[in-house]
Amino acid sequence: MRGVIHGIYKGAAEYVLPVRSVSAFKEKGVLTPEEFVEAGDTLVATCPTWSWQAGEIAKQRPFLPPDKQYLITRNVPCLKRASAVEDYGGAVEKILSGEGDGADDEWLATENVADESAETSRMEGTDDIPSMDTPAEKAEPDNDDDIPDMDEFETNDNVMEVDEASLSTPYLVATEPEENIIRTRTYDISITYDKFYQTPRMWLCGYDEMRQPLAPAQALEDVSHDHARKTVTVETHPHSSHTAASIHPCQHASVMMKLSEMLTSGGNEPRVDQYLFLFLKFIAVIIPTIEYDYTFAVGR
Amino acid sequence: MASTTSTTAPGAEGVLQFQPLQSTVDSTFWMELANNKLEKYRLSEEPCTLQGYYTPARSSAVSAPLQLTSTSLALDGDAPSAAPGGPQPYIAWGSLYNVNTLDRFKSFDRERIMAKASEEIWCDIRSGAACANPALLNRFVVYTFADLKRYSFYYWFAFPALVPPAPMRAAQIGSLDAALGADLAAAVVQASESWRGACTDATPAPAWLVWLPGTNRSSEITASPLTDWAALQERDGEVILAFCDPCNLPSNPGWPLRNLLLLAAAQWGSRAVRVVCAREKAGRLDPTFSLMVDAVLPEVPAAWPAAADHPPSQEVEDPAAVPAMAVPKTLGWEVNARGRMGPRCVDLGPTMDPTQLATQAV
Repeated sequence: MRGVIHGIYKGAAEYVLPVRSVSAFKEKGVLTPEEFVEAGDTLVATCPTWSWQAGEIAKQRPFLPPDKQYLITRNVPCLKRASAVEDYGGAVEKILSGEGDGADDEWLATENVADESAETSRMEGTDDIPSMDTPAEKAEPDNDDDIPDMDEFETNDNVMEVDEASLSTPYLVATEPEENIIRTRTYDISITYDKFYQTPRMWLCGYDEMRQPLAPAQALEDVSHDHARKTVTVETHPHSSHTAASIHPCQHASVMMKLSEMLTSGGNEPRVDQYLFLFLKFIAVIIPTIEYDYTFAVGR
Repeated sequence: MASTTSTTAPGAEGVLQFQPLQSTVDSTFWMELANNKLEKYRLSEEPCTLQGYYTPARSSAVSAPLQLTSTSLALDGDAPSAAPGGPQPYIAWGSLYNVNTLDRFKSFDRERIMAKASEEIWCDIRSGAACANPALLNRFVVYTFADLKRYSFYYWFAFPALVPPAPMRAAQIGSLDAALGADLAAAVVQASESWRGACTDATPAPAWLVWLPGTNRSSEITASPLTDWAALQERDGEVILAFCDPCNLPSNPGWPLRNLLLLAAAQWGSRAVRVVCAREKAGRLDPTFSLMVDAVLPEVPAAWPAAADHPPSQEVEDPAAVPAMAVPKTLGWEVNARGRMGPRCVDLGPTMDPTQLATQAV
């Protein structure tokens, strides 16, 4: 319920607040819409797997070009669930907090606490997530009476098309361990501009290994458990009408500012067109197993 | 990891096996379909044109699917508007048959729509239209039932592949740079990449030719459209067929090559052709991930298939459904989520049903 109220507040605030027009990338880690477009252009030019989208006409934001409303990359593989690689996520977060100077205690403190209690929250984590899962699962029994079993459709007269030229085990490669295959999901990842927080915001739409869409809450299994219950929420995508898991942008600006400070102290001048590369590197901590292209060196 | 070693298919000339395409339907597509059903189609069951999108494989972990999104339905046959930046996705044209009831869905005459699509593909191969526009080889069909009260959608895709008179065989399959050597492979990729870059159409051609000169091979490699086949045969050098390959496997090409090879056999009379299966890494064609297939093709006589060969399995009630010309046998229905022959069902209640969304939001 808090989320709903906040959503209404945020919507109202976005309506009355002016669009940021003064660059404050280095001071606050935020972007103007023009800078978002510039950073997006660089991302698309460097990694052509990303592309600009127009989205629904009715939902276009006037402060962005009509054909550059948000960025998307599709069919990104995710071979394992995040819980399988939790330690990796923790290690990277420590590096981030090493540079901390107190300006961003809340974000970093969350990490540290979560890190220490990793064992316990890992146990709890699985119990907690279903609170979001429940509506999705509850829907099934409701529908069971009415929706026919798909068995009925599997007609015997055309059980399998016999053809020696079709690869019969098309998606399951025998050389790989079985659990690997079963768990391979793919994600459509989009990045929108959040006017309220003045930062990019990431959205995840998942598919299982048979390319059936995942319920948004299932995407939480691919989010580092430290973040699954706090940083990632299920909301309506701003440019289309469906719900998706989103990484909440409330701390993005401060983390981005910290990252660019790290770059500066390393002797590199952070450039605003590279904002999204930095952003993707930091998001990789939250979704450690989703393998999008973020391996480009920044600051060269 | 793409294998850099050259692997020979089992048996010196094993049957060339193709990885079937997979459908991936964005939930925005179902929303658009639901809207159109209420506002536009209403009770009409007329087929409408779809555009599906696919890319070369971009990861060794997963193949690229045929994707439907909200824009798949929007244009109804018009050319799509190009998204700025980056290579355009390739487009496959599809026919959507949306039926009104679950009973209609269950008893749907899927043989009929498959026959129609395969007839179109075969006519385009024989007429040469597919040479000028190779995207015509990648037609697909899908029939759906939208249960709007429950936000459930039933659907079954088919990616028609015409069955040649005898199986196509592979003399050799390996990565492109293992087959050609790193320099030559890089030059082939470079030529293909500039061919793609020079293509300003909103619907880029998913297949093209690469010409290797007879001497001084890496210097003047060029890429050109399929229609140049005959002209290139007269020059001193080698002509290689190239196509955008959505398959990620190191040992097999993807489904779109099937109809393309049939075109090569039926239209050009090729009995052996080298094929580049173009795949990407980080958004650019990659010589180690791309494959080179030496395909051995069956002979396709001009009179094949004879009308008598054609087994009309369907007892035809509708005379309009009888193909005007003999068409090869066709297959390509997609398996369901359990790997069996059957339709799929997606329940979008969790993302579309206002009641469920309200419960979630608490």
